[in-house]
Amino acid sequence: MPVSGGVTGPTQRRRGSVILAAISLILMLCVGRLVQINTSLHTRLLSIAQEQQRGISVLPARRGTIFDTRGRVVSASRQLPDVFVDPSRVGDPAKLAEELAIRLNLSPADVAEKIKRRPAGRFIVIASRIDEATAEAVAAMHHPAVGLSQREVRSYPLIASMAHVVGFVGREGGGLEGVELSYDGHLRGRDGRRGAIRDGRRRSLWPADDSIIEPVDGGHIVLTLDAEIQRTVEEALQESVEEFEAEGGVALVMSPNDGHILAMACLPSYDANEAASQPVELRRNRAVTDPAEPGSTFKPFVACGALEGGFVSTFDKIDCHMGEYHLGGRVLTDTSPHGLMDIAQIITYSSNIGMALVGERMGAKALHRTIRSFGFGERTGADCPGEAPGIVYPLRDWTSYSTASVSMGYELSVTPLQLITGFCALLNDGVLVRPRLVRQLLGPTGDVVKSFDSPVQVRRAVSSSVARYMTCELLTSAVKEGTGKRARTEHYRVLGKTGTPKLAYRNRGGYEPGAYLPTFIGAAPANDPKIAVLVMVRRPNARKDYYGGKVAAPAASRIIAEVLPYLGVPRDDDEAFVSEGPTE
Amino acid sequence: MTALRVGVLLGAFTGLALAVVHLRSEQTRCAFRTLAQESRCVELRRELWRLQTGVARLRAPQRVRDSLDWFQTDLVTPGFDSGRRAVRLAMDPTIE
Repeated sequence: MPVSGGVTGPTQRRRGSVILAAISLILMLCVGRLVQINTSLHTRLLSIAQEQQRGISVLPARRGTIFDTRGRVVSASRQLPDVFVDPSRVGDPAKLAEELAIRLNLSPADVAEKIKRRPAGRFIVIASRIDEATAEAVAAMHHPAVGLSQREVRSYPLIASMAHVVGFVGREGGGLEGVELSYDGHLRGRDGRRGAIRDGRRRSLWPADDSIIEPVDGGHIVLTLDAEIQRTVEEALQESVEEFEAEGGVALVMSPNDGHILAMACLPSYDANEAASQPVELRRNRAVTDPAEPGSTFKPFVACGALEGGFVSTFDKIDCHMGEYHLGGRVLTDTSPHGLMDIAQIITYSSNIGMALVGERMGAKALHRTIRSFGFGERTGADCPGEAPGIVYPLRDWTSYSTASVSMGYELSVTPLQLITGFCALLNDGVLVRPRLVRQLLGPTGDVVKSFDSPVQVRRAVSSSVARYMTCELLTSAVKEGTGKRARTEHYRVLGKTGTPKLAYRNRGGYEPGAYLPTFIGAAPANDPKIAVLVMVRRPNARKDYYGGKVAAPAASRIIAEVLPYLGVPRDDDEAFVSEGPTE
Repeated sequence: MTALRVGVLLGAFTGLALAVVHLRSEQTRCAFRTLAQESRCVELRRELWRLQTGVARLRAPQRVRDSLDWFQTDLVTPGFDSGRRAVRLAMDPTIE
């Protein structure tokens, strides 16, 4: 029996040659392909491989924390998970939507709609900022299409308190309002990165060759505000707003010597944790953005200018025409009729006619100079974004009525911050000091980078003697005997001035009937003021009351009575005053 | 003798190869552990931030006040009660 395998001959040799040639060809093709892969395709394939194998892990940096002056946290960052879905790995969308909806307390239809909306996408956020328990429940699903990604979220433990001052951050983590915006560069951290080789399941297996970039946390900020004082001020303001059914209000507490703002409250306020959903109108810090005519609270500044320039002396008697005075075509009136009064009585009883006549004596030029010297018509330089400069018309635009109007606090507008800053110059022996909201900038580890504790003196607005006379005599008398009686407190002597300016129409000239801005600006203790207080209640129900002495002064009284003991300021020993003051 | 030498050499190479494999696997394990520790570090930082914001919420003045009310203690911040009393007095209409 012939055995074909054992037969040798030309046929077999030919077959052998063919097979050898085929193998050689295949080998050559393989070598050629290898050469091609390692030369012309090398770069592209290497990048594809690296993309598949290498991953970048972000090492999150933390945005700096904002503290109040006593170290309470006002704003801090944390991370909360978002739930996302990769539609390419979903499988059964309806089933997944139902499972997710149960865990996230959402409607299955909504979840399904979100998944279907972008079928080509790889990252669809289903729910944001979920709590830890929900995140655990979602992670326990172990669904390949469902994942959790961490996102930095700003938390405001004081909720609505200080919301207008501190501001808020946007979704990308940048400051959008308030201190968060003005110090964004200092607060913002820089995320780190770490490269890693990943396995087939995308788990980090091996550190990549490139060096690690460490995260750099943001710096911290210490405010001049005190959360306890802020709460007191907000409560007092809220009481007034509710009692007089007002539209809102602004209140400020400032330390006159160093310009530190201890409280800055705006009502209505908003929850800073939900800032994005609040209307823009509500988020505005009206203490710095909304100028208004100051009315009678402006009279002390004009009186100072008149005394300083020698246009009026402390003994001069001015005829107040029994409450009605014709100036050109206009009629000026006082709330109660007065005859001859000196400058002290004019301030104490807040006579419009008396102040208009003082203004006439000064003349437009001196009056304008006085106004500007107290910082009106220019930004205070406080670290508040969006600060308005107020309106002080240039001299060339003044009419024949302007000196009288401006002397009564009309025909110009000032922000609440400007008003209290100017008032603090009177309390500070006539020196205008720049207001401050930030006390210290700290580094990420808490080291002091910059301190703003020392006051910044802007200029001398008025001489020391005139400023002292104004505060110790005239403004003290205005609270003791005049329109500001309700600002008195049991244990501290208070000085101050009331105002009841009318509110102008927003879009046209003239004043809204029945719309007022009752105001009180004052300080205590009168002999050595430690705090200045400004309370403005916007548009109270005029049928209830609208005078500054009745609407705003009680709130200021409460603030002074509560804040001074908190600051450890000893009670006044002026027995004479206490005996004359309110009794039970 | 030749077979013995070959055996020794093979054994030595095998041992060397095993050692290299072991070292390499150990190195991989350590690298993996390092990465895991770094991830843990990130998680711990995240947990720290969560706790810090939680503490901050508890230290908020209004929250402290609510807690004091809840525990029914007589503790108050100095001056606050006397202040309210003073306001009641100041609001007395007879002083106008």
